[in-house]
Amino acid sequence: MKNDYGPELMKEFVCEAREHLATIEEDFLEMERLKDSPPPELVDKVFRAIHSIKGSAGFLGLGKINDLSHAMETVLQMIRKNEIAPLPETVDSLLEGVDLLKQMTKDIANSENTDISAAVKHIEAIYKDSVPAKEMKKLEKKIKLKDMDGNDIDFEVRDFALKNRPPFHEFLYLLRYELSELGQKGGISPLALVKELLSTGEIIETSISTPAESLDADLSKEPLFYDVLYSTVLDADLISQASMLPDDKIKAVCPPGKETKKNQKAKAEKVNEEAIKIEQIDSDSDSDMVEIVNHEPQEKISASSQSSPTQQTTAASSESQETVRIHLDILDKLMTLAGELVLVRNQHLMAFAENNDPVRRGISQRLDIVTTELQETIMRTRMQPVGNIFGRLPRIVRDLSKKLGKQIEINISGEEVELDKTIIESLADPLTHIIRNSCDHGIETPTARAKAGKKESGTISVRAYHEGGQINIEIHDDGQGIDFRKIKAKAIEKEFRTKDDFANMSEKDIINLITLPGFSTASKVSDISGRGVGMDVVKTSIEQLGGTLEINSQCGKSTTLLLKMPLTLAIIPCLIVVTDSWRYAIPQVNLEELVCLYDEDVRNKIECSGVQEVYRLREKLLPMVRLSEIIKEDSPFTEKTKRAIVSKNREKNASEMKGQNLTFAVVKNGTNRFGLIIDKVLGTEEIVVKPMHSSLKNLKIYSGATVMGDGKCALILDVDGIASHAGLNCSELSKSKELEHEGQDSFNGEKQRVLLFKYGEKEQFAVPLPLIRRIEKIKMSDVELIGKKEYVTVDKISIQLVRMDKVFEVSGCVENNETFLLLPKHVGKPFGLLMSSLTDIIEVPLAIDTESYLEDGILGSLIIKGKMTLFPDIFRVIERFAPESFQEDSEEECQPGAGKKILLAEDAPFFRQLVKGYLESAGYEVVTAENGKAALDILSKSNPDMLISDIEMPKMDGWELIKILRDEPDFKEFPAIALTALDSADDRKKAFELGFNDYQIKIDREALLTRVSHFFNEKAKV
Amino acid sequence: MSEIKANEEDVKMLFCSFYAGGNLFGIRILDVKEVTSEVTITPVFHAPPEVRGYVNIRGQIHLVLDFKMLLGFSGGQETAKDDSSNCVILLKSHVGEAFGLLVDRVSDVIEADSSRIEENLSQNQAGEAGKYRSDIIKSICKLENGLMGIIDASEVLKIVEKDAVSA
Repeated sequence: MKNDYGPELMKEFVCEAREHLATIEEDFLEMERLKDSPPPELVDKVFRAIHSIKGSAGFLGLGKINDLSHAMETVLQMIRKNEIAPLPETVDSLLEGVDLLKQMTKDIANSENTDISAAVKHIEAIYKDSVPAKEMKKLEKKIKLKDMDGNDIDFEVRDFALKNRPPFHEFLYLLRYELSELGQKGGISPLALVKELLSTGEIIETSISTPAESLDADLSKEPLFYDVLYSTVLDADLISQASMLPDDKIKAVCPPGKETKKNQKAKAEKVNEEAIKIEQIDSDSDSDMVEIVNHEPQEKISASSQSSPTQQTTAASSESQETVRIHLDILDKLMTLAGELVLVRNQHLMAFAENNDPVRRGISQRLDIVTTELQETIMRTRMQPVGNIFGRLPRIVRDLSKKLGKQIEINISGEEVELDKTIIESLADPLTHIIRNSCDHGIETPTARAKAGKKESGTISVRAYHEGGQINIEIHDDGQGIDFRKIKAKAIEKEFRTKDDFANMSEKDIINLITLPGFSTASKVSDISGRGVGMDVVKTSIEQLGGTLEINSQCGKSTTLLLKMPLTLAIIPCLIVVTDSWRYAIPQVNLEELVCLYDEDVRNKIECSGVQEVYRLREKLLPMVRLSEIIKEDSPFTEKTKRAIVSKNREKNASEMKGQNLTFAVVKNGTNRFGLIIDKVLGTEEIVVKPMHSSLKNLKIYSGATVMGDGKCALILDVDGIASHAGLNCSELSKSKELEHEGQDSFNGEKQRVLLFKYGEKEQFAVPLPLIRRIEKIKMSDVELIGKKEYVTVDKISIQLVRMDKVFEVSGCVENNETFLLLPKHVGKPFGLLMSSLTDIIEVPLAIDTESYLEDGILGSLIIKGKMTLFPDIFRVIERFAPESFQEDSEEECQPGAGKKILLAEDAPFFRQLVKGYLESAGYEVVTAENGKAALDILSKSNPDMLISDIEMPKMDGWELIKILRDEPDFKEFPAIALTALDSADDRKKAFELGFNDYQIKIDREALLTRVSHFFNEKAKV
Repeated sequence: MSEIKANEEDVKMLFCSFYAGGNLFGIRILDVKEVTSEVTITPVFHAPPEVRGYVNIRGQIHLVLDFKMLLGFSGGQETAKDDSSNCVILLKSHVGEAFGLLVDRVSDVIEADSSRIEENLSQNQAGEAGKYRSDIIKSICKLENGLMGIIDASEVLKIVEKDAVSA
């Protein structure tokens, strides 16, 4: 059964079938609810829907759809005749069928490959069960038909189907259509034909007959005949008109049980009169006929004939008058034109603004009003009632409650609230997900509910309403709610948040954590929900539509989800900004806030982290992007371009900043959040979004264009595209924790906890924690002066204060009464570094920048929390502060080391720099290597006298290095010291086993230097 | 249109002629929607160089392409400044999604005998301005006082797309 109807026809069929199927679920559920006496008009409506799908499918050669809908139709027919009741099991099977039909109409091309056998079996089981087997057999029996003269017709029909036709259908015809002709140019559309046929009767059975059997002489063309057994109220004269067939293709069939032609004719005449008189078949003629063909009890017929067909026809006709299918293109065009009309109106109003002529002013005003109204009306054409998606919720709830063994009711209100078509379509999935969640996690089992003193059946209510220019959709369930303690525990367990984070979080904040990716509290993963991909997807899709999601819950009582959606996507509120004298629109959804900096702040507040400009907005680091640079540079930013931009803007800032200001918008999209520097803000405006020209679709920094009020175009910026163009590393920035603490790429794996502190007003300093023995709070009043030296007593030891401003050029100490003293580790002499205030202890990658700032005693700098931070070399600082204390020592130590070359293998630049400094200050020559491999290279090239190696290094670690080294005959006795943070007995043992001569813990300067000199002395002795 | 194609031998074709960089070009009049000069072009940064920007024509946004840049003439940017003489030829939708060509000056509608039109054989041969992108100049029409390059408008957007991707 294959026909090559054009795609148009198929489309039309799919469209219609979907329309029928859209409402059918609700109707089935309604039938189930009123199973004792389902309203006939409802059953009839469903029946007709399925019937017309079946009819059209038959004409289009969609066998599977035809078969399935046929089976469903049979069941519905029986319900219609009150032979069976729409019990839940029956409705189950019917719904299964609807699902399949939906699936098949969705992918019509593959509908023939769908497996419908199970569904058909289920459905057939219904009527087979209800009818005694013997009877069934009889009904299934095929009977031969006879024409009016008693001749056999070559057409078989199941007795059952024939018996089930409506009693008032007087006539049976066999209509023969040539399929190849249907759907041809100028021919009749099969869909129109089916509609026509169904309006006046029913298609009982269909079959395709092969050309060989036909009497048609022209066999070469091989026409396919489609025979339709049609039961109707139309008599022989009208049937040819209705069937759109010539008389010779119509065969009157004698209905079983009636034999005489005469009798038939007499009846036909009588009906004929009636039919002609009113020209259209309606209930009046029906009732007339009922008298004639009265097989059934009077009551039932009058019920069905009076209520159903009348209502059906009137409903159908009024519907067809009310709606017209219009292609979206036309609506869009209308919208464009309306927008243009608004512009014309604006120009008109401006032109006549000063005109006082009352007549003209009146005209202007009317133009104004009409235009506004026109625009609003056209906007409404895109709107659809939210009921379109609410409709499927009862079905979901019903299925789920059965599956989960719960009793759940659903209340829906506000179906009439309208939303933009696009939003409605994309809202369906999130909404389904939310309802599933409510059923699965929210509502408890009846026993649990009874225990909690609640009604056994739970209720989910869905409500849509307008509020403040937005649509709110509220999903409320009276289930167990969300236990914020559980969320908390889970968040800690999954390391989404630390305990400290919860200190400042409200219950609501905590509950909203469930929208984090990978968060699911269902202890059991079911096939309904709880795979850990849940609310985050819902949240993202809602945010993509420009909406927001809010979760409220009372533990043990209820959960409420509130979706706030914009009315439309085609018109979005935007911030209009200016850069380089061109206007751009930033969608309001992406906008968080606007910040304006004045005068010196322009320079000072925008800091630099590496090659990325940053701004500290309420203690959070915000990367900055200059829109003017973005539009100038059409290839994505590289390290180089970024550096050029930074240096350019730094210079500019230095030269002229008085009276300057700088505006930026804090924008975000998903995980990206950054500051977009613009020239000027014009204000917010509702704009009509137009897509980018198809040739320019690959320009990522725009999401569309729009026409502004003055008739000029402006581009809409795509925040995500700009972020990636500017080379903002999204994944890194998304981890806000790291963002706070580090400004630079963590290209170097090793991280170190450092103490951040301040000494003077401006500078920030940092010292790695392993170098600190303790921190002491001291009072300046306790400080004793001996000569120019300051001492303070800590634990009965007098400790000399070291002031950093005496050593480097930094601002002087802020003299609070309470200050802090840093007591360094591994320093033999009692010195303490004075600090004015402690900032933080944080973990940073020790990838310190040794180039930006160099001074004797400073190891280097690093951007921490957006501020340049100096790393002082404590030993060097103390040495420089009080050179007299170190003189003897250094003289002694310097001697043996002089001229010796030490190879230092260390991956972390910070420690490399630190240790190198120690060794160099002791007079050694130092070569450095970043890992074991590099160390081996150097060993083979130059001739160092000793190796000091870290253990944990990338590429080749210290263990491997020493192993290889000891395998070389030349290096068997080569002095090698392990210098590591690993401080366990096992590691120590292993180090000696593998061949290290010594093992030093990071980082005891004096011990290290002693050991080094010890080795050289030993060697010298040998 | 189909008639014209049917017997091309002795049929007269109409061209909208225009000047760009001192040369005369023509577009089949059936491809032209309208000619307009009062436009404000909003630049689309990051687009290929021949894309001048967007312009709003009665509520519909059109892409404006600089014809001279499209052909590879240099100095397209300079002529833009005295936009008094600049004109945009907007093309019909069957040619491609809403776009127009910015040219120096629109001239007459020229009626040309199809026998006077020859295929442009000088593919990629240098014109006066050096690098010529002759793939959009499908054919040449011999007029009494010179030559007119005939543009295949449907090729234009393909070039822009190619440039956009390579950029």
